Amino acid sequence: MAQLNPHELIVSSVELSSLPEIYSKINGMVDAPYCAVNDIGKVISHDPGLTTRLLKLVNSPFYGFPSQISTVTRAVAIIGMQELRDLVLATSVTRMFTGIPGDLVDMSQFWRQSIYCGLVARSIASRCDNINREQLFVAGMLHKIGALVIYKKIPELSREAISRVQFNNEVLYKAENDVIGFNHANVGGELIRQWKLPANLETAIEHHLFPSDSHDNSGNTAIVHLANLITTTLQSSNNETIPPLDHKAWDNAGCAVELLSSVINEANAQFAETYSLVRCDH
Amino acid sequence: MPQIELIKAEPGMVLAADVIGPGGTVLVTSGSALSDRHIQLLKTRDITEIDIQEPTAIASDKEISPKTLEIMTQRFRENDDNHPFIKELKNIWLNQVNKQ
Repeated sequence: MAQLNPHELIVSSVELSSLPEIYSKINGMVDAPYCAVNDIGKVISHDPGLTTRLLKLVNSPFYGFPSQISTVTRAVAIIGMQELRDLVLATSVTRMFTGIPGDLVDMSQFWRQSIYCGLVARSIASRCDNINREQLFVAGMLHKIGALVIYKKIPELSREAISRVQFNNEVLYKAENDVIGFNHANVGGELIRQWKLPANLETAIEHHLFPSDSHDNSGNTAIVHLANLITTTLQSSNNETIPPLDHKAWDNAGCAVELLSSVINEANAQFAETYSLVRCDH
Repeated sequence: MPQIELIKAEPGMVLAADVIGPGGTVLVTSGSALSDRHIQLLKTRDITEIDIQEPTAIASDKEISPKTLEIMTQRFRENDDNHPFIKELKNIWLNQVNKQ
């Protein structure tokens, strides 16, 4: 590796530099000016695993629709094409990171935290009149995706950063900055750029540690920031230190403090089923 | 799981049981957070009562053991104790610890 930086880390890895083909296909169709729901339904139906996961997801408490949705075309018609694209992304990404040493990260715990964070972000969005609920689920779920790239590409340095978190109670991003020279948020942003995903998703992931540093006034980045603090507090197995709250982000998210316990109740209620549907162990 | 009258339902409350309509169909499933639209829908279907999940109770200082207090201080040391979000987050965490 010529030089250690987030960009090099990603482009030097063939398997990380592009998204699964089915996602690119659907992405292109959603962005096309004239796109028929039936066409997207057909593309998805060619992937039986994806079809099953999507149908289970739209019929789960994640959506809480009153009646059974039995075809992908109907699912697309009801939840919308962009939301569907986000769900396809969420269920595709978890399969891309394999071969990471088990002593660095417990993958099952990693995705538990990530999906929980996505649910919290989505739940905050629905209470703060933020219309990007599904995208916030994805942003929350992928906020720490850069850490997986770091584990995969530079395991030795990762080990040093993680031991500082475990034994010196350092905050993860500070340990990464000290040991590696950049952190998982930098790498996550770069990965989303390489994947050519929407710019607001990139901003939310790249700036989730300090939303004030971005020019995002939509509240999206601020919501992912809050969801990360909540997740670290409630879902960390080893009493990890909570990263600092960005006070401006709290104001920007527009969330009342009284709503927090209902946000968490909702995430808890949806967690088990969403986890089993999004996480792909097989 | 407390049962409440539908007129007292508020957006954000989480259902503890499916809401079944007069014809026996499930209108909204257990685990869903109520939206304004849900509440309007249930009113038009003559639903009068729903089961909702218990909100988190507030932990009192007396319940905190010295060990828990030490962990909490350590974990939140990068944060401002007086910020309302941090205060609430600590409360929710304490409730979770007390339940375990």
